[in-house]
Amino acid sequence: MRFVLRLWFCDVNGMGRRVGLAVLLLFVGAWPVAAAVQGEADWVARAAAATAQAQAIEERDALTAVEREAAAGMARAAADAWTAAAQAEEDAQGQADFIATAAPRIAAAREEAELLAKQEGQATPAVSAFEDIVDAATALREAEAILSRARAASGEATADQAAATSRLATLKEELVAARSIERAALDDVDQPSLDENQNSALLGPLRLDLMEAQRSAARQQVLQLEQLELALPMRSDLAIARRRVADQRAKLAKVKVVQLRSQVEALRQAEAHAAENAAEANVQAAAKLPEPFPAWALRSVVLARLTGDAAAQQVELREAMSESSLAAEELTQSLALGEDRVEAAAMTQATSAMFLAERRELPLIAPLQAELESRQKQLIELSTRLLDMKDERRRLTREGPLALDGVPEAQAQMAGKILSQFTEGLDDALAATSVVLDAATSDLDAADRHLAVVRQYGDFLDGRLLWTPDLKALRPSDGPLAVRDVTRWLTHLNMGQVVAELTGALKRTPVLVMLLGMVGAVLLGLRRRLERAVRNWHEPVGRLAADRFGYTAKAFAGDVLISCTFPILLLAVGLSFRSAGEFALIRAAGSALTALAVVLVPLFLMRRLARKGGLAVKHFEWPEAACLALRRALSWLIPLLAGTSLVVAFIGAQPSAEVDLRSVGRLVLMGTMLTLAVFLGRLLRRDGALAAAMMRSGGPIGRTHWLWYVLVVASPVAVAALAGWGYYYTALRLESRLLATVLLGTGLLIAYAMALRWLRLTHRRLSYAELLRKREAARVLREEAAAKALAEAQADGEELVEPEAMVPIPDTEEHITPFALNEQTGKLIGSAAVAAMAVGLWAVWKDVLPALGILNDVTLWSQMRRIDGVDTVESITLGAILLGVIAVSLTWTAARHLPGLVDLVVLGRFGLQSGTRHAITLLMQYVIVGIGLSLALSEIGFGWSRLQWLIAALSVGLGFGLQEIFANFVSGLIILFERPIRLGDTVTVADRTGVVTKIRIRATTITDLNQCELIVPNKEFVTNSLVNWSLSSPVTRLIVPVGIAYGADTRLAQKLLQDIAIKNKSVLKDPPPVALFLEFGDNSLNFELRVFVTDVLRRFPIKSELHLAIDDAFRDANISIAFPQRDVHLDQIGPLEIKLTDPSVPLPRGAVQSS
Amino acid sequence: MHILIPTAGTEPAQENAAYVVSIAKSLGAALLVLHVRQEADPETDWMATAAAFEEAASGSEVEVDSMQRVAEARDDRAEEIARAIAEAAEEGHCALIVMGASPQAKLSDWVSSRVARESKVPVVVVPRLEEKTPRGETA
Repeated sequence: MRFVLRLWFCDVNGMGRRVGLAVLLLFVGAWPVAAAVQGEADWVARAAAATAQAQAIEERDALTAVEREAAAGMARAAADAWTAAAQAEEDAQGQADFIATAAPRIAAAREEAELLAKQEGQATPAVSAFEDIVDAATALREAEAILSRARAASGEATADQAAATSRLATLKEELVAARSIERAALDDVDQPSLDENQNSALLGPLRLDLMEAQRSAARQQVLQLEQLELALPMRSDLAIARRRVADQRAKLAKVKVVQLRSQVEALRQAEAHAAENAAEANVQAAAKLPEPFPAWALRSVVLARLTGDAAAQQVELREAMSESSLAAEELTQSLALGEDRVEAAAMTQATSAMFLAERRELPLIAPLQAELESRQKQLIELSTRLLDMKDERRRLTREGPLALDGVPEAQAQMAGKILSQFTEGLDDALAATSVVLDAATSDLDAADRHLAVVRQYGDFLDGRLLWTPDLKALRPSDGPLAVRDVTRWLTHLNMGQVVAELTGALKRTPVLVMLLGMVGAVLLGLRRRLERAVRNWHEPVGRLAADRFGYTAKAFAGDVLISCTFPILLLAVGLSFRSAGEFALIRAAGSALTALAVVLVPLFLMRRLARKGGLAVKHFEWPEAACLALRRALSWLIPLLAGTSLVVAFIGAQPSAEVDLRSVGRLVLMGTMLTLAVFLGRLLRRDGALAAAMMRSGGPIGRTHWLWYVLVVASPVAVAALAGWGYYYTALRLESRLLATVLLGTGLLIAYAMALRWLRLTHRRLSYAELLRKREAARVLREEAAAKALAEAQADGEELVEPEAMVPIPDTEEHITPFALNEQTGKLIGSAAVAAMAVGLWAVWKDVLPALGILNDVTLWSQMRRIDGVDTVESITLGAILLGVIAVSLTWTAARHLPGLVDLVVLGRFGLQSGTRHAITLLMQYVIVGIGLSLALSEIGFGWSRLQWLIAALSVGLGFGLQEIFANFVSGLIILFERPIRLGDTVTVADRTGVVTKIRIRATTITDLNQCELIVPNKEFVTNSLVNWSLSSPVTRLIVPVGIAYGADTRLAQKLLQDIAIKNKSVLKDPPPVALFLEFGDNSLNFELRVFVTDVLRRFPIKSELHLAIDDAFRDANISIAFPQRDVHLDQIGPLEIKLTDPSVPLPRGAVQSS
Repeated sequence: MHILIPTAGTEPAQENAAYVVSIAKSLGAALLVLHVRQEADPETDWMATAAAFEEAASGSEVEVDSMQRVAEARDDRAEEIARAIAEAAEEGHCALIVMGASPQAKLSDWVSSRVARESKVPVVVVPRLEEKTPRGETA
């Protein structure tokens, strides 16, 4: 409106400066008068005046720029305020008008709705019968249009009502704000501003005008809002009434549409029948014609039938489509309404009850999904059919005239008739099929939309319901109230009717359920026999030769069957009640029995497994005491859980009873959960038998007792607390999830125990076979050695060489020992159990997970992030932190277990060397850790885009600074792939010798003979020369040099050396030891004893042993070991000159004094 | 027919193997070796005992199977062992118990007398190695 006014004034002022000046003078001069005359009502005119004034001021040359701006601004603000006042007044007037007329309108609408309802209640209005299909189709289209209009009107009314409700919720705050603005405006008028300048003659009136305008605007705003507050409930009422009218109209229209549809369908059918009959009539005549006319005639009949079917199909599809779209539309509206409700006011109990009812009525996903899939198939079929027919039609165009040419003249007319009939039939069928295809496509779209909306709405409801109390918090008076409810319910119960319905339901049991019951009865009959069989299967367990895993499998199957007997009977009765009962009570009882049956199976099974001498003790080797504790606990837990789950399930399944039993259900649930907590607390306490058994087995379960103990005991307590707080629905859902988790855990525990049993058995069998093999080999060797000893008739007292030492059994790394198998497979089973638990937990909790979306509402901190050049604020929420923690823990588990698993399952099959496999698994570990950490970091806002600069900068720094580390890292990879050293190898590197005990990616640990551990950087092995004493073979040569004195018996010495070598147990027989007489040395006759030994680290002890033996043997044989000797020879050719000197006279230098 | 041979994996028990096999052969019975071990002991002892009996029985058509029982180290250990042996005999449908009497063995006389009291089937106590051979041969 303001815009229009401005436009108008623009035009006016466009007339010229003179006119503008005149207007200005008029308004500036006439303003006080005008104000008095116009009164408060004519705000539009005053707004116009103020705008004109503003423009006039802008054009006044006499004023300074500042003055002009201030004055014009004030005038404009006044104009705006006046316009707002006018607008508010107009709105208020609109509301007032509405209020004035609303009551009769509502009454009229209600009356109309009632009238329509009466019409609906009366006999179905007759729809005039049509004879012509075109007329019928037109009438149908019209009726459909009316129907869709009525539905649209209903939707509109619903939206209006929702809008009114949500507007009303925010209105109060607006009203408060408007009132405070009004007060402020009034205060301003009372205290005129004092900073008036010299142009107050101009600004003063302007300011006064502005204040008045603002006051009026605020006042009008308040009035308008007050009117709105009055009007909105009426609008809501009117919308409800309108919706009722529209719904009633839609119902009537729907009836009409259905009738017309059936008419149209009947007419189409009749038409198709006529066509079919006509075609059939021609079949006889066509028999005399040459091919392909008889075939065409037959095909015409089929096509006519197809066209008829297509008509029916089309009607069906359109109906289904309209149903789906309607349902989808309704759900969308409900969703919007629900969202509005939640937004307008926090969840209340009333909303929660409504949502709960809607959740219960929401269609199930699985049938909708199945329906959608079948429709997709149908669509594909239809498209294929259409294509085939199009192809046929093309061929017919080509072949038709040709076929006619081949027909004798006498039959030409008939042939022509058949051809034209076939062509027409094909065209009709084509047209009908393509219409059906269109209908099917839209139907599919509608179904798809419907499914999507059902999912969306379901998620929305689940999310809201889970965090909303649906009952009041528990009070002391709830106990007596519950008793009163139960008494009232019992008095409402018509026992006669219940019994009659029960027997009726049993009589109407479906065949499949009866079969199930029969299975239960058969199991009951076979129970004794089964028990006997299971006992027999326990017998061979634990025996070394007879025990097989098959006994465990059979006994387990037997136990499952025995445990299932009673639950199967219960299930049959429950299903029979559920499917046959018309009475809500019977259906609820059926649901409760079914739920009970499901709960009982695992409980019975556990009790059965834990019995004395049962599967758990005999096969799984669980401690007897733990089984006893479990058995005792179960014996009172089973009746408790059975009774309470029956009650809770029954109350949950009977929503529309006269008495709301939910508070009773809550008390029962709380009681059960608290008892369960006590039970679990006692059963699993640290000094209990069960915990003791778990601790004894070691492993993470025993170590983390405190953690899972708290979790296990606190979970039922938490559920009870939630229920007490009023979150009954939440508690029920969590309880069922908890139960499922417990079942999952139990199932996995049994599976784990079975796998361990298999492993233990296999390990035992392999170990035993290995033992027998070794014993056999040893026996053979013993016998051979004895025979040899006998044959050689060795001297008395000589020790026989131990056969084992003669032929050491090679224990290469590729040779899988039973122990390795045990350890590896144990890890594999553990990993599989962890993975299965993770998947199972996901499956169990995934329904509740969308509700965890609430965690994303808790923002911990925010950060700026640039996405595609636009800065956006990214919030890090509690949910993101949790996801990060989950990612880290999953990474840890995966990094620990996955590489080993891949190694065992995949790499082992490719015949890779174990070093290569080790390298691959190590690298895989690094990759897993890298990916997991980057995922976790990106969850908490440190995504790759933030890290990449850091990493780029770091890599330059690393390139220089950590050059050595990188070199070692790469060398580690080379070592792992190329394998110049392996674990257990004896190596000499950098003048140090030792055994490789650990190979890591940066450094390798070598333990030397002093038992010092040397951490050698991997670069050393790759870049420097390395001696590996045992790379391809552990055999090394040991040389013992021996020198004997000249004159000794050299042949004897050689034989002795040879014998000493042979007798030494550590010296290998192959290659044989050799004693060689190598040289006539300076002081000795030099021999060398060259022997081969396997153990590099024992070279020195062996050398010592040989030295001792040589010394002993040579001493016994009187062979002296030479030592260095120096002979001094004097010249004997000439005489020695001897001179006597006087000792008192000093000798000249160099002279020797002789005596 | 089964004969139960309770052992504790000691050498004397294994030395008895040939003798026990000869009894079984003469009776046309199968042997069920019961190895009583403490929980901390490795299973290899049990296997070694079983293997010794199996080796002794090889070529004699006497069937050998073996089972084990874990006895906790308690004060009334003899009672517990004796009960375990009697139960095993019952469970394995054994018609005879043949056990060693070596004073060094864990299953010495103080166990065998208790077994005789607990058991519902006859118990044969085999004397020590140096004494048994002549009698064994005459049997």
